[in-house]
Parts: sequence; structure tokens; C-alpha cells
Amino acid sequence: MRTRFLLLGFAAVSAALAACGGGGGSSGGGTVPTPTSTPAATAPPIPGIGPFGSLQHFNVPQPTPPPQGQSAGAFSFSFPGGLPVSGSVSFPGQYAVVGSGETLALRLSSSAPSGVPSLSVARSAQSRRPMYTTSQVSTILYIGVQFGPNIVALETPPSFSITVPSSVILPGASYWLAAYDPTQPSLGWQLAFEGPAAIATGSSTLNFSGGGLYDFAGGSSNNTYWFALYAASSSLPPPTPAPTNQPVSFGCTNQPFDAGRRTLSTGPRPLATGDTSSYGGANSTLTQTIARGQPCPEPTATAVASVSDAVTVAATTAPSGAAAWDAQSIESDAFATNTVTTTTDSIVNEDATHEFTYGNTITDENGDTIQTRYNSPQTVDELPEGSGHSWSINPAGTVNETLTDNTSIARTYAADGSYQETDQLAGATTTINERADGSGSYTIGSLGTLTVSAPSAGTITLAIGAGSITIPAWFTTPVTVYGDTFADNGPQSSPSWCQPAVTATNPDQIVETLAITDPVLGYTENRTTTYYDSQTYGTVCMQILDTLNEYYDYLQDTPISPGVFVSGNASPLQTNTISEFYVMNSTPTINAIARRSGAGGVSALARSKAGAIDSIRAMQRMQRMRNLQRYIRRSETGGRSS
Amino acid sequence: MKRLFLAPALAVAVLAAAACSGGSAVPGGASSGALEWGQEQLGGAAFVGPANVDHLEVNVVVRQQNASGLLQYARGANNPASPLYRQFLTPQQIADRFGASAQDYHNAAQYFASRNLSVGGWPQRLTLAVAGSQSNVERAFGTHFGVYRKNGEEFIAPMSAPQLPAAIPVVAAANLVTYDVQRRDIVVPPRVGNNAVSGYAPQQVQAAFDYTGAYKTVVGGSALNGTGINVGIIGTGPIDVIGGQDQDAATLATTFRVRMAPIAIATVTPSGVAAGLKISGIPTAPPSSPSPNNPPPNPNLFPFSADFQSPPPVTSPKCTGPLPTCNPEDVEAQLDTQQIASLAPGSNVMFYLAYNASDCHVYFPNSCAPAPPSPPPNSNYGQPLEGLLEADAEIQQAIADDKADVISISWGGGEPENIGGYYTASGSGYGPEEFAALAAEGIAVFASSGDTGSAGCFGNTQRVCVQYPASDPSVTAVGGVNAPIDELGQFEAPITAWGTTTATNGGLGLGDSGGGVSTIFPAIAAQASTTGATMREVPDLAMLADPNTGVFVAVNSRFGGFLTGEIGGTSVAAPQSAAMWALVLEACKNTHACATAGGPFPYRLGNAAPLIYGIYGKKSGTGSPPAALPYPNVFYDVVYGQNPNLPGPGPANTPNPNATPVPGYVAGAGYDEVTGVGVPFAGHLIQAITGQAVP
Repeated sequence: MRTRFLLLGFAAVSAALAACGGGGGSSGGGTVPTPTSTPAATAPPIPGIGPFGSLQHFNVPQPTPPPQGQSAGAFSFSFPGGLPVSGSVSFPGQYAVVGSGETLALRLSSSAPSGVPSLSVARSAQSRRPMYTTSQVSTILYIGVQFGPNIVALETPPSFSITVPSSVILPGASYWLAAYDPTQPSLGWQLAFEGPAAIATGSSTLNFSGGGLYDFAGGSSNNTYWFALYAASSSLPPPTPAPTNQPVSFGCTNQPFDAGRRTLSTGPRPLATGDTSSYGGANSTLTQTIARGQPCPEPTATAVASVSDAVTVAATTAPSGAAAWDAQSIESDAFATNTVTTTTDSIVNEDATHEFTYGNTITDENGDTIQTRYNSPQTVDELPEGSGHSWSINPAGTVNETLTDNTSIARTYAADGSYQETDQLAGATTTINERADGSGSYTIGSLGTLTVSAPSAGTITLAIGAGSITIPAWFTTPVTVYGDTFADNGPQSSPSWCQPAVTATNPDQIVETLAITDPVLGYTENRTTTYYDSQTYGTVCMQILDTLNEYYDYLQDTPISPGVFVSGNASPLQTNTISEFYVMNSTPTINAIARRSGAGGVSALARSKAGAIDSIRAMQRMQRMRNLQRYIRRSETGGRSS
Repeated sequence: MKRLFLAPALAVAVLAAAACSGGSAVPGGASSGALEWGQEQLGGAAFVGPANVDHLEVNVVVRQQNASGLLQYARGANNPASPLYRQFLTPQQIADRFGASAQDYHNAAQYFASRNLSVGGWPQRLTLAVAGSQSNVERAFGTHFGVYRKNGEEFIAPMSAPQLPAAIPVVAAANLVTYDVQRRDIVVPPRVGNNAVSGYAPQQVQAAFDYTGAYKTVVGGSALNGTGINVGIIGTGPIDVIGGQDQDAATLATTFRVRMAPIAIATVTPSGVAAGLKISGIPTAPPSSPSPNNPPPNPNLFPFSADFQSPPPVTSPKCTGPLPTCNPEDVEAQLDTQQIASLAPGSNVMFYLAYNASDCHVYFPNSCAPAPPSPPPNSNYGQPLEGLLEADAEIQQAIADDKADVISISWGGGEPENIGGYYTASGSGYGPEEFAALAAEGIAVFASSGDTGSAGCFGNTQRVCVQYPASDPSVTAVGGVNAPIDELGQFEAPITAWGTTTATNGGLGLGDSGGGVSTIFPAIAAQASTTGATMREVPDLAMLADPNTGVFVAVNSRFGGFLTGEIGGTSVAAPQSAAMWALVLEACKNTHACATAGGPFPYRLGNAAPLIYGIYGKKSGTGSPPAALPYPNVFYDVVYGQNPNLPGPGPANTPNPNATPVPGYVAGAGYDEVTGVGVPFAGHLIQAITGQAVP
């Protein structure tokens, strides 16, 4: 009955949240796919190691230097000897002490202490661990941490290293810590507070890296916070949420979301402040090729860079003022001759069923910035990840490019991908108007205008001043000037190049397909981005293949007349490809609730990495505009200076 | 006067004598008894008539104690394999070891002073500056001047072989023949006008060639940007410095929001003869109208003579008339200064502004008049002399100052056409000597390799030849490339050699990267050992030059025009290289293991070319330690393009369709005579040379 009551409560909360109507602008509908049934777990046959109990007091080091309240270094205490278990508990470096002589008591017990319920699934607070249900656990050890009469405040839970008898380590079992907060007894035991423990092969030492699933209120005086070491019967907790066939929407994005201080919600929350991940290693590379086929064929040029990328999540605010996360990617591409660093700040947020983005800001090492802001948040991942999801991005919004050399570009996209743009390039004001039917114009002040007709009967007409030329349309008609779609293909085998530093068997594969056709500037860009998402670690690998075909002669290898050289056929004059691979090269720091429990793979973090390529393409586009201006200028002036 | 009537016949005789001599005289070397005066350059010239100019400036070479020794020392001091490597000298040491003896210098100066000529000198005692009226110059040299025409150019030259008393220890006179075979290596496309919308901003160039890698590198507590390094330019155009601020550089800084190094005119004040040797009889006079561009001389250094005039102020481009009334900007000086100032923004830019008040008389000796309405093509009407002919005094001043750590030169002339003017056919002469002097002081000189591809000669565009001073063994030659870069400076297409047939620019045919094989100078040791060259091959490296991928330059800022784009030519490449080298030198200055040179400037590295070939010789490596960075990590090897010259111009500056291209060299893997070893990237260049790790 208890369990049933909790599930009903969970559903009630979900329904209430859905009713508030926020929905975060996510158009994905929030439909939860029919989940697999919860496996019937049994308690691992862990042999008892008790009974025993111990109590030891330790002095908490004062922050150094004074005054009190300053940060200090981490400290740790070892378990007392003479017990079947040994180990240590370590506290993080950020804490505050009020008063001197602060002490901490460490209690170890094989049985539930007085006043604290025994650990059991039935006693757990399901509403606080929506991703996890299991029927049976085997409790091994209870650890109590009691703070002294003065207040010790700790923002981050401790980490543990616990060595148990080897008989406790069983194949197929995973080891976890549950937490019990005496100041909030109604919550009961918080299962999966930390874990699963890292265990070296052949070892019986269980390492919990700290960080905690939930907030650790920390150090209320004289209260004892309890942790329970237990074993579960599978390596990963089975997925939740609870089965339902009804559409469920979680979260109200119109309400401020405190990204800095995690709140307890009812849905998967794969992002959290302080999350970090890094990518690099031998298989993280960027390869650019440039092949020029017409009118002056040149040898294909290839440049290869090794890629390193660090992603960090921090609190920020969305354009609406709501709390959000800044998923910052700092990518360094080390080519043979130089290194290019790009910083991308993606503003992201989430509700229970979506990761979405408000846009991003890309900053290159010159200090140039490209700021993209969507009119409404755009989905970059649907949660929980699984096969069958698909969605698209609506480009409506603004792109503002500001360069340190005084160049600026302001572009406004409509939902159909058409855009209007006003630019300042070296003192010249230019405007571009591209319509969804492929027609458009490019005007340099009063000097001249290139107009492009909509395709008709397979041809388009380019005109500069009085001159014009009609050529076969070099793009597919009817034209789609912009498309950006996602498809979740579910768990897939990792490709051979994807060998991350963490174990990620059959990560979820999400494929984003971006297609741009710009008849005014004469190019197409097709980008396929493939994310491999571990439900625990997030995107462990990622591949971007971007192909840009140019159909106008920006290098001016051809005579002035008829103004703009075009290939005249379906073959581009030049093809520029970028193929980039990212491989997670270290264990990420995960504060996020969902991913710590292995139910919240997320590609939103990884998506910020595309900023490096976005930057390259934007800068190339800008240069094409300049080069095209030369053509227009020359055509209008007969090849002479004005 | 009597000789004037005989002039045509005498000129023929002179030419005949020159032809027989075959350039065997030794200008600048130990006196052979005959004065070298450039008679070879009269070959093919037609006599026009007697000259009537009011003022002449002549650079005379005083007999050296050991001219060949200076060349040899420079080679050693710039050869990493030599025990003399980086044992650099001061101007006084050059004088004492190799230059004219004090007595000879004094005697020569006194001779010209006694002929009522102004005389100036420099502490290195290589040449004397002599100036005065035509009649006094004629009297001093025992000749008269006539006007000649060759290849469409009029110039003056002695109508008989100049004669000096046997006791006067002068072995050569540099510019008695004013046939100007030197050209600025700048290309201004005809379509370019004010407010052009294309051309690279400084930030693009900074990023493309990884100057930014240097800017990100903190050495000695500050980021590398050229701080503490003096970059010299030896050029011929005016720059507009008012109140210590270059007006055009300020415009570029404002337009692109880029930091610019301070730019100053390095005043040429030949001294030492009067102040040091106490020669009497030198006419003195204050400058007629001191101005920011015409500062009063230091009376303690030189008894200023009106015959050595400072450049007049810059005037509007609409000004009509010859120098000095009209002195508009020429883009070249603005290009050079702005490239260096924007790419090495912490450096000090010293512009050695070559100026000769009598340019219009010399170049158009019978017409110091406003330009005709339609100057003939390629006439260069009203433009000052260029190159060595004009800049001798400035080069000597740079040697004497010993302040510029690196020098950029964006001009040159056909190597064979300079025979007799600056060197003999065997490569000796005061041209190589003055560049050797700079190298002996540890000063790196970057010179443009030319804009006409394999045909570097002015007088005969159908002839394969390289350009001097780029081909000088003490100079690093800089060729050009087409580098399509985007707004971030990343490459949007491969870097290719600058060539009319490979980057056609719509058929405008605006030039090719100068390059080829010297017929006069042997390859420097480092080039020979790494490329197998026997004769000096140019260029050594390459930077931006194709106007299709040209740069923005601010010009005539005070007069309405303020920005022009797509400026190209190896005139772009040379200052870009010099600026990059300034960053290298700053890194060396702040790196204990590198700042080990002998002399007053321990951070100087001398000629850059040997070090470049040192890197080229390392075809592979791990890059650890940083100094071991191999060639592929430092240079972009340009493998596509060629430099056959398409003679022009035809209508509207297009190539002459009927002309036969001069065969060119082809860029390929490794060294080639179009782009040298390739395009350097600043960060890794610094790392490879100084060992200073760059992020």
C-alpha cells in the first residue's frame, strides 16, 4: 500500500505540473514512450558482516587562514580500526565553521541506528528519486556523521572509500549509498544518493566520489546524517518513470528555475551546475578538406587538427530572464601550424521531457562574437532518450555577429528559414533579403544589387544592374532554404572510433540533420551531427560531418562578366568539408540527478560544441559576402574603381 | 661647355668603353684605380640632350680597408654553423675593421667639400653623401651630365667617364646615372577606390598567420606583440605624421578598432664627417621651414645643409605639380607602415623616408612641370626615384643608427640591371656591402621578391631574372601567395602561389610572386645545404601578396580618402614578415637561452633566412622541446601555382594578349622558386626559433 500510495502521489504531482500549462514551449509533446517493464529484482545474497558499532570523534580543521567562514582545504577521517570494514570519509574543501573547537562524530553500525528507519525500498521516498525503483536491496553498513554544537556548513556531500570483506563483493551486484536527513524525516531514505561505487578489479574497496544525488543541507548542529551502504542486484538501476500510457508533461518554464540550487523535481533533470565533461584523445580530430573543381581545379587541401573540448555547466539566465544553464564549451583545435580556440556558451534548460536551447554565443580568439537567439526555446533532446523520437528546430530568431574589426551582421530568420539581414562591412552597409521560395537580393548601399529569381522551370536568373544571366538551378527545387531535424535512433553499438574513458555500452544515438540552401550567396551546407549518449555520462562521443558547396566564384578565378560566375551545372565550384570527432576522455563530473542514476543521457551539452564549426561557417559566409560585393562592385563600375 | 657639344659622340664612346669593361670594375671594393659610376646602365640608352638640373645628390663609396672582409664577416655572423655566429658588430667596429680608414674618409670628404658640395657621413665609414648644384657636382667629378632615354624612361648620366684626382680614395659613385630600375612592389588594382568593401582587416591577417599565437604568449610577464623591438622601413613614399601621430594609421586603428604601433620618421642626419673629422668649408644653413615632417637638425651632429633636405609635408592627392610642391601619399608607405604597426602593435616603427628634393629634375630632367593630362602608360610621371637609387642615405643611416632590429624593404630591381650600379657581375660592390653591414649588426632585412614573377627585370619583361636586393645573401626574400581567408582568418580555400595563371582575378593579370635563381650571388650556406641550391634562389618564404586576397590600407586620411582595399604585391608580404620577425625577436629578448648574441643587442638573430632553412631542414620531429618543431608545423607548404610573367599592361591594365609569357617556376612540395619554403605561422615560428612555447 505504501508503494502504491507513493506512485499515485507521483502521478498526482505530474498531473499538477502538466496542468500549469508551461510546457516550456516544447513542441515535442512530452509523450513518454512505453517503457520496458521494471525488472523484478531480488536482493543480492550479501553475507552479514555484523554485528558491530563504533563511535569516534574528530576535530574539524579550522578554515585557514582566519577569519572564520572562509574556504579551507578538504579534510578526511579514517574509520576506526578493529571493524570488519575500513575506509575513510572525505569532506570537500568548501565549508564554513562558526566557532572554534568544532567536532565531528563518525558512527559506524551494521544495523539501523535508533530513531532511523531501516533501509528498505518500501521506506524510500520515491518522489525524490523518480528514476529508480527496485524491489530489494541488501544493506551492509550504516555510517553516521554528526556535527558538533557549532554549525558546520557543507555545500557538497562527502565522498567515501569503504573496504568491505571480499565476500561482500558479488558478481552482478552494484553498491550504493542511501542518505537519511534527520531534519527531514518524512523523506525517509534517499536511495541511490551516491553510486554506483567504483570498484577496481580484484578489489573490495568501494569508492564513492561524492557529489550526491540530492542537496546536502549540511551540518545542522548536533544532528546525525546517515548514509547506508547497500547492494543492488544490477549494475544500473532500472529505468523509470513509472509506467504510464498517458502523455505527461513536466515543468513550467515560465516559472523561474533555480539552476544554481537544484530543486527536487519529479522528472529527469540531466543538467546541473558544476557538471563538466571533456573530450580529446587520439580519436578526437577535426579534418578540413577543400576541393576546388571549377574553373581552376586545384589539389585538394587537407588540414587536420587534434581536438580538445571542455564543457562546463553554470547558472545563467535565459533571454526571458528565467533561470537557465550556460553550457560552455571551450574547444581548441590544434592544427599543425597553429591552434584555434572557440568558446561557445549555449543557453539551455530542461523540463522533464525536453532539453531545449534559447540560443548560443560563440566567441573566437579574436573576440569576435556570434550570438544566436531563438524566438522560442528549441528542443535539442527529448527525454528520456529512446528510439522513435524525432523533432525539428524552428530557426525563427536573430543572429548578430560582431567582429572586433567593426564588422557587424544582424540577421533575422523567419520560421521557414527565410531571412533579412543588414550588415556593416568596412564602412559599407549591405542588405540581404532571402525568401523561402529561393528568390532574394543583395544590395550594397546605392552601388549595386544582385537579384536572384525564384526557380522556374529548373532555372534561376541572376541579375546585376542591367546585366543578367539565366542558369540551371543548382539546388533542388522546390527549394527548402533551411531545415534542422533530429532523430533518436535509440541504443546503438558504438562506432569503432568511439572509445570513451567511461563505460558506455550501446549509447543512445541521436542524429541531427541541418540543411541550408542560400541562393543569394550561392552555397549549400549540409551537416549531420551524431550524438552517442550514455544515460549516465551524457554524450560520450559525437561526430559532425559538414559539407559546404559553393556555386559562385568567390575566389574570382573567372572574368568579370557576367558578374557572378556560376558553375552552370549541379557541380559546385568548391567543396569544403569538415569532419570532426569528439570522444569523452575522462570521467565527467556529474551533479545532475538523472545522469547520476543512469537515466538521463543528454545531448544538450554536446551541442554547444558545434559552435566551433558554426563559427568557421559564419566567418566563411561573411567573407563570401565580401567577395560577392567585389563582384557586384566591379560589375557596376565596369571593373574600374568608383 | 665645350664638352656639351661633343656629348653625343662622347656618350657613344662611353658606352663602348662600358661594353668592353663588362662590369669588371669593383664598385665599393678595393680601388682598382677606376671609378665605378654605373656606366653599364647606359647600355641601350639614347642621348636626348644636355641636362640642366639645379641640384644633385650623389653617394660616393670611399675605399674600404677590407670590403670583402665585411661580406665574409656577415656570412659568418649569420651562419649558425660558424664560430662567428651572432657575434654582431657596432657601426664603429664595422668602420674600424672593414670600412674606410679615418684618413681616407676625411680626405674624400674634404675633397668634395672643397668643391663647394655638402658632405655628410656616417660612423661606419662606408659611403659619403654629397650634394650640391649640378655645376659643382660636374666640377668635382670632371664630367657633365646629359639626359638619356631608355625603356621609356628619361634620366641623367655623365656624358663622359667621371674623373677624380688619383689621390682621392673614392672607388664608386652610386647614382651618377639616375636610370631607375627599382620599383615598389605594390599592386593597386584598378577597381580599388575609396571605401572599398573588400580587403583583409588586420585581425584577419593576425589570425590567419597566427600572430595571435604570439599575442597569447606571455613571456617575461607580458604578451608578445613586438614590445621593445624597433622595426625599420626603408621606403620612398611620404607618410603623414603630425604631432607624433601617423594620420593614416590612426584612421586604420579607428576603422578596424585595432591597436597600432607608433610610427615615426627616422630622420636622416649624415654626421661624423663634420662633427667628427672637423672638416671645414661645409656650407651650413638652417632648414627653411621647420615642420613636424621637417624637424630642425641636431646642430651637435651635423652642420645642416640645405642640400640635404628633409621631406616636404604631405599634400592632397589633388595637388598638381612636381615635388616638393606636391607630395601626395603613394599607398606604398601607408601599406608598409600599417601592416607592421597593426601586426606588431607593441613595436616602434621607424620609417626611413628616402627623399630627394631634385627627384622631378632627375627623373624628368627637363620637366619639373605638372603632369600631362594623360601620362603615357607606365610612365611613373612625377614619382620620386625608388629603391637603392633613392635610399642609399637611408640605408647608411639605418646602419649608423643601429636601432632598427628588423627592416622591411618593399622595392627592388632586376638583378642584372643593377650591375654597375651597386655591384659587379661577380657580386661585389657597395650594395652587398651595406646589406652585409646590416647583417653584421644582427639586423634582419626582409625584402620583397617582386611582383612580376620569374621576370624581375624592369627593362625587359621578357627576360627571366630575379630582383635585388631580395637576392642579396644578407637579405631574406619574401614572395607572395593567394590566401583566401575568412573573417576569422581561417582558410576558406587552399593557399596558392600568387600567379597570373593560377589566380587569374578575372584575367586582370595583376602579377606573380617574384622568384627564380640569381645569376650573381651564390646560395647562402643554409639554403645550399637544405635545398641543394648552388646560386642564391629566391624567395625564401612567402606571405600575402595577391591583390585578390589583399589588405585594407588607409590613405590620404586628411584629404578625404580614408580607406582602400585589396592592396597587394610582395610589398604586403615583406612588412608582414618583418612584423612577424619582431615578435620572434621579442620572444628571444625575453628568453634567457636565446638572448645570447654578442654585441649590444643580445636578442638579435641576424638574417632570418638561415634560421628559416634550419627549420626547413627538420622535416619531421616531435616538437618537444619546442625548438625542435619541424618544418610542417611551422610553414604552410604551398604546392600549387606558378609565376610565369604575363607582360602587360594591355587595355585597362589587362595582360597583353599578344605577349608571350615568360616561363615561370612551379610551386611544389618543399622549397620552390615561387613561394620559398612556404608561409610561416608566427606562433610556431617563435617556438621553433626561440624555444619559447606558444599556446
